[in-house]
Amino acid sequence: MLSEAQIFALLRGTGNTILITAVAIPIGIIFGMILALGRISGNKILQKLSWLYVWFFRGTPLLLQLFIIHFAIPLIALDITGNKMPINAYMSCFIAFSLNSSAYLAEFFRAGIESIDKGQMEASKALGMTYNQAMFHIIIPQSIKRLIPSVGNEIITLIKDTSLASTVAIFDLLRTTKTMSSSTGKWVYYIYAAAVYLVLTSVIQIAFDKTEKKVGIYE
Amino acid sequence: MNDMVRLVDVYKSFGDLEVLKGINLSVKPGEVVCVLGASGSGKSTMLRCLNHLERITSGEVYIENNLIDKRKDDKDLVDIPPERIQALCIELGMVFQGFNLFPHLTAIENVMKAPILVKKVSHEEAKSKAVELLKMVGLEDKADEYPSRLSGGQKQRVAIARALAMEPKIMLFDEPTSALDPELVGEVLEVMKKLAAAGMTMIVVTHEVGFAREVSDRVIFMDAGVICEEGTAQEVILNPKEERTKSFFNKIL
Repeated sequence: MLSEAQIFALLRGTGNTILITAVAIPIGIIFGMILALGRISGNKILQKLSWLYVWFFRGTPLLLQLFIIHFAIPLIALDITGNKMPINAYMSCFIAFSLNSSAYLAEFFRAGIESIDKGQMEASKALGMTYNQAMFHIIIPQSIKRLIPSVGNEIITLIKDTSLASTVAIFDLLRTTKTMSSSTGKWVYYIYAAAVYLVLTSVIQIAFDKTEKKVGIYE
Repeated sequence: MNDMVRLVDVYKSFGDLEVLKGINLSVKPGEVVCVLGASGSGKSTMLRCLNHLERITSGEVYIENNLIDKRKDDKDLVDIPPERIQALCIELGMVFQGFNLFPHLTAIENVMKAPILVKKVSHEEAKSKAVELLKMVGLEDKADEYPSRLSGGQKQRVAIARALAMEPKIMLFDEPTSALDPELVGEVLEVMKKLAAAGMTMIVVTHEVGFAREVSDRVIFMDAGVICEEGTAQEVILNPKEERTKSFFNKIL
């Protein structure tokens, strides 16, 4: 079966996959919410900026975004400053995956917030609440139940997409498996990889299904 | 000139559609004014112009003789700080046709929310006030229920309590019983009668002619964006002078 070194390598690969997801999702949620609020605000400049952001990050491959951050930006920096500025592979992944998730989550959040009946904002205003008070106390709390499944989906997508991290020399789960397979000539490692991905995504799926039910208690 | 609210030559258009065409209205303290008229006559829009839910196209709006909106062709003629507009608009409580209760909050939390957020009253104070108001609308036993578990009539009574929690000087009712099953209308009207009897200034957009006859000091009949006729319920509903008023009440009475 698996040697100790192999188990260790698989664990490390899984750890990297989890690490990237665990960093990118919270940042994605916060930044995505800011983008969504910008998009629905009355401010034309914020609307445009938010739209441009989502347009770029949803309209180009995640792999390209990762390459831009990891390979192109150091080259651009070299052209401008004349100094080499290599960027840490983990840092590249954190940035690329966070920025990419933000774009997707922003769209989910925007749709979720816009799906709340506009009578809610009117009632809040009529009671004297400011736009921000209404947003944070009335509108967003109601949209959370509708946002939970999309955050769950985004985490699952991200867990799978972390395999792209191998392109910037990070040993994620998939790359670890592939290396084992090619060095030993055995295919069974791919089964392990599939099993680990399934365990991770199932845990997320179940946790989010449960949370969704709990949060929706008032309906 | 101690008007609670006053509209002066108010026009309102939505795009090409002109909904209000020169409205003049003033309401005195303690007065109960019922606004009747066909759907699309501009009744609700007029009400919503009073508390900035709709911005007028042209004209002036006053709350307690304080100017809160003066516009011409959709452009502001005066610059009033938003804090001042907010401070004046909370003198107006509003009850909507569709209740618009906050579904994620219980009945009592619905009533407590705005005083805590807007008036910064303490949780305890807001709570004791809310209990009192829920009692007033006959729903103290439903305090901890979420709106989804209340009937339409109960929802609307919570909505009235919620508006009253801000201690408004004027209550605006925008077709408060139109979304209710017929058997639930009475309980909401009862609460409104209680308020009127307690001396609250009220503007009620409604189709309930019986309520208008019983409670109102003045009835306004609107048609096609203008106030067509106004007077006591007796005058406007039973002895209308204008042809449009006559034909409307002939149809519904």
